[in-house]
Amino acid sequence: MTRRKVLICACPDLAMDGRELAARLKQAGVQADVAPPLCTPDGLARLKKLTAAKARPWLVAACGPEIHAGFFPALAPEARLPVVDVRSCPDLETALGALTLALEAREQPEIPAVPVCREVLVVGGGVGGCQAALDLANAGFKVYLVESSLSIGGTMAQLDKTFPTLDCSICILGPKLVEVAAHPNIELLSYASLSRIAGQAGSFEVEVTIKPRYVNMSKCVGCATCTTVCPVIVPSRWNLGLKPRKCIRIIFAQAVPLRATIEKDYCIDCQMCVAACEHQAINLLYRPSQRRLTVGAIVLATGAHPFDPTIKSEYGYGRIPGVVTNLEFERIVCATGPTLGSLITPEGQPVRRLAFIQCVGSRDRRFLPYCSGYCCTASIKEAMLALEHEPECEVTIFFNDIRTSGKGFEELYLRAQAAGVRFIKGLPGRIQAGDDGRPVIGFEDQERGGRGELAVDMAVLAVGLEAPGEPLPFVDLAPGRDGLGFYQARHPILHPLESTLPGVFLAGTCQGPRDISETVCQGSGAAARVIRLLTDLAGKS
Amino acid sequence: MTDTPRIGLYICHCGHNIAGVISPEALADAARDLPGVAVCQDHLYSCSEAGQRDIAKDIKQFGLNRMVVAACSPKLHESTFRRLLAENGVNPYLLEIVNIREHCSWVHAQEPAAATVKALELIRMGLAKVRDAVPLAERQVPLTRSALVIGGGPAGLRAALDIAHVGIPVILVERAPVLGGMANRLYKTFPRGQSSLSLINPMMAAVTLHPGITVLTDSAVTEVGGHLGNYRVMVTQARPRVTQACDLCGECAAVCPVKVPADPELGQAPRAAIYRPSPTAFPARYLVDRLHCDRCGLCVPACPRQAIILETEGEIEPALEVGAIVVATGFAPFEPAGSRYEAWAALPQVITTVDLERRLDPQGPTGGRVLAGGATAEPQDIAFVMCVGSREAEGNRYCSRVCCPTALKQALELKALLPQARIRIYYRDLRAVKREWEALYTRAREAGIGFMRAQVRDIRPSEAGQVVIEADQDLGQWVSADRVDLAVLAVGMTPGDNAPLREVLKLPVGTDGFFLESHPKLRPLETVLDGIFLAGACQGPKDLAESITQGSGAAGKILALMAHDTITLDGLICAVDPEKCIGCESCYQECPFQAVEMMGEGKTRQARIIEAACKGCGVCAGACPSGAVIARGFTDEMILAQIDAALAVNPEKKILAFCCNWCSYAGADFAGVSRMQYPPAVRIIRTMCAGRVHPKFILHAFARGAGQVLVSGCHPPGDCHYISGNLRAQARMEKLWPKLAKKGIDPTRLRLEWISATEGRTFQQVIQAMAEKIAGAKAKREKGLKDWGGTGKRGKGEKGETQGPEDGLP
Repeated sequence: MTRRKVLICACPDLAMDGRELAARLKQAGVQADVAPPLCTPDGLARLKKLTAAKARPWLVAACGPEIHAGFFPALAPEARLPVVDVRSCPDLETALGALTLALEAREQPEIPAVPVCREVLVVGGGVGGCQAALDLANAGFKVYLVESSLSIGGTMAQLDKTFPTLDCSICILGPKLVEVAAHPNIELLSYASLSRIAGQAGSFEVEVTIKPRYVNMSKCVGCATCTTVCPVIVPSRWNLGLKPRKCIRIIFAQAVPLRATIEKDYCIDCQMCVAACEHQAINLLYRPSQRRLTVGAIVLATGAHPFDPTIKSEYGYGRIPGVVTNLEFERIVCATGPTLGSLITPEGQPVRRLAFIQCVGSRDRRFLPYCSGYCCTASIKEAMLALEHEPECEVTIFFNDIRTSGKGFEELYLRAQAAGVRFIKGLPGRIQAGDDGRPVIGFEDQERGGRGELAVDMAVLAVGLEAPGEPLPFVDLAPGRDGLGFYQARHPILHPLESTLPGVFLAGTCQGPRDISETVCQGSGAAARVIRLLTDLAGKS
Repeated sequence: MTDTPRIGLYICHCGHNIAGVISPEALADAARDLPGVAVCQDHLYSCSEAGQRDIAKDIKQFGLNRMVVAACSPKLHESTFRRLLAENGVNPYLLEIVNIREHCSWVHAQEPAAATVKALELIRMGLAKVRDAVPLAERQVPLTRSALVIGGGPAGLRAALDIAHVGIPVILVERAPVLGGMANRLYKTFPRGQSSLSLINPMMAAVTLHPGITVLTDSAVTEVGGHLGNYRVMVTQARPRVTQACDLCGECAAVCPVKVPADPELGQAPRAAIYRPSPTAFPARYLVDRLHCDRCGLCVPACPRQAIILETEGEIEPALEVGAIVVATGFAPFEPAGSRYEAWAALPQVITTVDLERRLDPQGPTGGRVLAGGATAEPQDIAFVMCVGSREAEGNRYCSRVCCPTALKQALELKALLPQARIRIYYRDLRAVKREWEALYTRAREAGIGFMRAQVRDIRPSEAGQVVIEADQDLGQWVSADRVDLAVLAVGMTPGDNAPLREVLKLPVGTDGFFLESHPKLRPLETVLDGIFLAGACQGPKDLAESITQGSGAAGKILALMAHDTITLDGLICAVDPEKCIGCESCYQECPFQAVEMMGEGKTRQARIIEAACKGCGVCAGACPSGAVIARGFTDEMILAQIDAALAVNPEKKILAFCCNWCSYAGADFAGVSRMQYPPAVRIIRTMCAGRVHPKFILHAFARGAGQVLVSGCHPPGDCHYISGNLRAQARMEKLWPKLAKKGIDPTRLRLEWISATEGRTFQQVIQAMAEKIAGAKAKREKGLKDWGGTGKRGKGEKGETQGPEDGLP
C-alpha cells in the first residue's frame, strides 16, 4: 500500500521552508500538512491524533533517530510510524526526493533480527578504555580489552603528575589497572592487534592477533631476573628513548600484566635469559596466535599521538639537545624516569632556566588547525613541578592564549603566577643553539612590546595531540573519521560517544584531544550507551 | 571467636629478590617454634602455582585456621592469598602479609644481617596481629532497583533516558514547572548552529512518553536518608491549581485581568496570572502564578473543562525509595545585578549573552530583532565583553569555559543578521579549547569580527544613545575608548542556589561552589557518598555535549550497580562495642562519611555504624576515648600487639612507623621498588588511614621505649582517600605534642609526615633523619636541646612542609 499523506514537522532546523515543501507535495497530488515542531507539546498532540486515527497512510517528515531520541517509536510502539529524515536534507529537492521515494515504497521491510551477543570489545587500554571495560564488566557484560602495547595504562602511565591537583599519575592509575586485570568479566588481550572486524551491531566478528612475548604468560612471575642477565641494551621507547633497557624487559614497574617480553628484533639468541629463568617461562620459539571473538558492540578508545615537533624545524627539536617535548619532560621529572626524578638536561646539566613553548603543532594551519586543549594546563603543571624540584629555577611560559578552562585549572594558573612563573604573550619564532649549545629562544613580547632572546637550559615544547594513524581493519563500513583522522561522533552534541557506525562507540582522545577527567567520563558514558544498545537489540530479537 | 590459632607461616624467596639478602631457610628455622605456628615452609615463589598448591595441601593436612605470608607488598598479592584461603574453606580475612621484600630485602641490601633480624621481627609482628584476627563477612547490601534523577536539564534528561531504557524505573524531579532547564533559553547551539529546540525537545518528549519515567515538576527534594542501594527520599511538590484535565485551550488566560510585565531574561512576554510557562517545553500545562493571582475567580468559570481549583493549597509530599541518585541540577548564569557590573548592566545599551540569546530567537520576545534598549534601528557597533563574572580576582575565580564559544557563535549570528554591523570582542584569553570551537574562532576572524585582548575598565553612557567602553589594551598597553550601540556582557556560569540540596544530600562543594566529585580524574562522576552521582554543569562549567556525556556516564555507573540484586562490600569496616560505648559522639563527629549514627537518648545514647556507608578508614576508632570502636582488620588489640612485637628488643633503637595504606605505605613500597637504601631501624604498621592512629598507640609505643614514632599519611588537603582522615591525624598529633612534653617525653620523638605513593625518596630521607636523631638522642638530651632539627632536606616532588611539633609547644 502506498501512502498519500505527509505530515511535515516545522523543525526550526529544516534547511527549507516546510510550507513550500507541502506546496510542492500537493502539486504532486499528495496531501501534505505542516505541524508545529513534533517534539513540542502542540506538535505531539497533533501526532497523537494521527496515531489514534490509524495513521497507516501517513508519512511523517521529521528528523532521524540520532535526533529524535526514540520518541516516535515510543508514541506508537506497535504501529511503527514511518518517519523520513528531512532535517538532514540540505535543500528542498533532496527532501522532496526522499519523501517521494518513501511514498512509493511498499511496507518498510522488517529488519531481520540477529542473535545479540552480550560480549563487548574495548579497543585500547588507556584510562578511557579501562573505565569503559570496568563499567561494562561491573554491569555483568563480558569484556575483551585489546591493547596493542605490552601493558595497559596508555599515556597516563607515562605522566609524572596530573593537573590540576598535581597528584601522582601512576599511583592513581595503578590500582585501576590491577582492577581491570583481576576482574572476572574482563579478558585482557595485551600485545595484540585487530586483524579483521566484520558484522554489525549486535554481532561483530573480530579477529585478534596476539604477538609473541617469547615468555609464557602463566609461568612468568614478573621477577625480572631475566632482565638482569640479558646482555643486549637498547633504548626504552616507553621512556621515549631517554633511558636504556634490556632486550628482554618488563615495560614499566607497575605494568599490567606484569610479564617480561623479548623484543625479537634485537635478540641475539644467547639464551642467557632462558637459562636464568627459574620458571622455565622463556621460549624463543613462540609464534603469533589468533583469537576469534564475537561481540555485540565495540568501544574504540585508541587514543591520540603527540605531535612530532621535528617537522616544525624552527624549534630545533632533535638538533638542540636542550629542546624536549612535554612528554619527555614528564619522564625526566618522574622518579621512575631516566634521571630518577632529577631535573637535569638530557646532557646531565642542572636546569636553572626553563622555558615552555605553547601551541607546538596546535592552532597552526600547517599542522594541527585545532587547539589541543590540554597543553596550557599541562605546561603550567610542569612549571610547578620544576619549581618543586628546583625552587630557584627561572621558569617562563610563552603562550598565545592561556586556555585553562576546566575545573580547578584557573586556580592552578593563578598559583603558578604567584609562584613566580613568568608568562610571556607571544609564541617564539625560533630556537637556536647558543655558543654553549644551550637553546636560545628568540621571541617577541606582544604585551610589553619589543623583541628579546632568552637563553635557557631546557626548552619544553608543549606539543599538540594528533589523530591515531592506522585505520582499523573493518571489512565493510568503517566508522567515519574526519579530515584530520579523528573519529567522528554520530552527533556532536547528542551522541558524542557513538561513532557513525552503529554498534561502535567512542571514548577518549580518539575523537579529539581531551583531558583525563573528560576521558574517564566518556568511558563511563560509552559503557551506558553500549548497555542501552544491547538491551535494545536483545528486546527486538 | 577464640579458636586456637593454627597458623601456617610461609616465607617466600621471591627468587633472589628476598633470598639474595635474607636467608629464608634461616628465617623459617627461627620462626618455626613461635607461638601459634603450626607449620612453616619456605617457597621459591609462594605466589606461583606450585607454592599455592603446597599451601593448599598444608591447610588440609594441618587444619590451618590462620595464615601469614612473608613475601612482597600486600598490594601485589594479598588478593591472591585471600582467594587461596577462601577456596580452601578458610575465611579470607584470617591472613596477614608481611612485607619482607619492598620494606626489607630491597632496602637493606647492604646489611644482610640486620635485614634478617628485621625480617624476623616483621614476621613476629605479623603473627601477633593474625592471632587476633577474626573471620569477617563480606557485606551484602540489598538494592532497590530504581533511580532518582534531580534536575530535568539536558544532563538529567539523558541520564533518565539511559537508565530507564534498560528497564530500571526512574523518578525525575525538576524544580521548575517545565523540563529542559537552561536549554529552554538557548536559541542555537554551538558549534554547528543547530537549534536547541530540535536537540533538547525530543529528549523531553521521550522522557514524558517513557512509561518507566515518572516526572515530578515544581518539586524539590527535601530529605534524603539511607545509603547506597537504599535511599529514602522525600519530595515536596506544590499542589497544582490547574488539574490534568486542562487541554491548553487558553480561555483562562484570556479572561484573567492581571497583567504580569515582561521578563525578557526568561524569554517571557507580558502574561496573565494564569499562564503557560513555555510554549515548547514539557509538560504542557497552565499554571497559576501564586505571587500575582488576586483570586478574582474569573478564570474558574471560563474553563470549559473545570480544570481550575484556586483554593488548592499546600504540597504533595511523595516518599520515594531509590537505589541511587543522579544530581544534575545545572547552573545559573552569572547575574550582574548586585556585582561590580551592576552599573554597566543597568545601561539600556548593555545586555547579557543570555538576553541576546532570547532576542536572536524569532520565536522569542522580540521576534528575532536585536535592538538596544529604546533604539528603533538595529545596532551598527556591537561589542562583546568577555569574562563577566569569571576569572575575577575576587568573586568567581574560575573560567566558565562556555562563554568564549557562546560569544563566537552569537557574534557570527549577529554578523549574518546585520552584515553591516561592526562587531568586536574584548577578551582576555580566547579559550576555544575544542576542535570545533577553534574552527568557530577562525570563522569569526574570517567574517571580519574584531578581537581585542584587553581588560574592560568601564562602560559608561555617551551621547546619541551609545555607550563608551574604556579598556586597557594588553597589546601595546594603551587605554582605548570605544563607542558602541550595543554592548553584550558574556556572563559566566555559577552554581546557582544549590544550598538547599547541598544541605539535604550533605554533598560537599568545592571552593568554586560547584558540587565536588569524588576524585577529579578517576571518579569524576562519583561523589564521596556511594550511590550519588553527578552529571552536567552542577559539577562545574560545561557545554551541552559534555553535560550529555556525563548524563550517560552517570547512567553507566547506575546500570553497573543495578546489574546485581545486592551490593557486595568488603568486610574491613568498623563496629561499635555497646559494652564500651559512652555516647560521647567523638566518632559521630569525626566520621568523614556520615556513617555513624547516634541511637537512644541520655544515658543510653550510643553510637552505631551504618555498615553500608562505612568505608573502613578507622578514623572513628582513632578518635574513640573508650576503645569502643572496633576497626575490623585493624583493631586496637591487633595494633597494640604489633607494637609490642616490634618493640620487644632494643626499643630505643627503633622507629615505629604508622603508614596509611594508600599513600605512605605505597611510598615505602616505592622506595623498595627503587632500591632506595635506608637504616633497618624502622618497623612499619599499616593502617587504612593516618586517621586510624589513636594517640594511645603512640603513648603505648613510648611507654615501651620506642626511640622514634612516625605517623604518615597522604598530603593534605586533597590526597586523603577518606576525605579528611589526614587532617584528623594532624589535629590529634598537634594535641599530643604538648602532652608528650608534659609527660617528660621529648616531643621531637614523634613526627608527622605526608608521603605520597611516589615519594619513595621522601620516605627514605625521613627514615634516615629519624635514625640520625636516635643516634644523636642521647647527646641531645644531655645538651638539653629542645629544637627540632630535621635534616632540612626536602624530597623531590615533596608537596607539603615537614610537620614539626613547634606549633604545639609553649
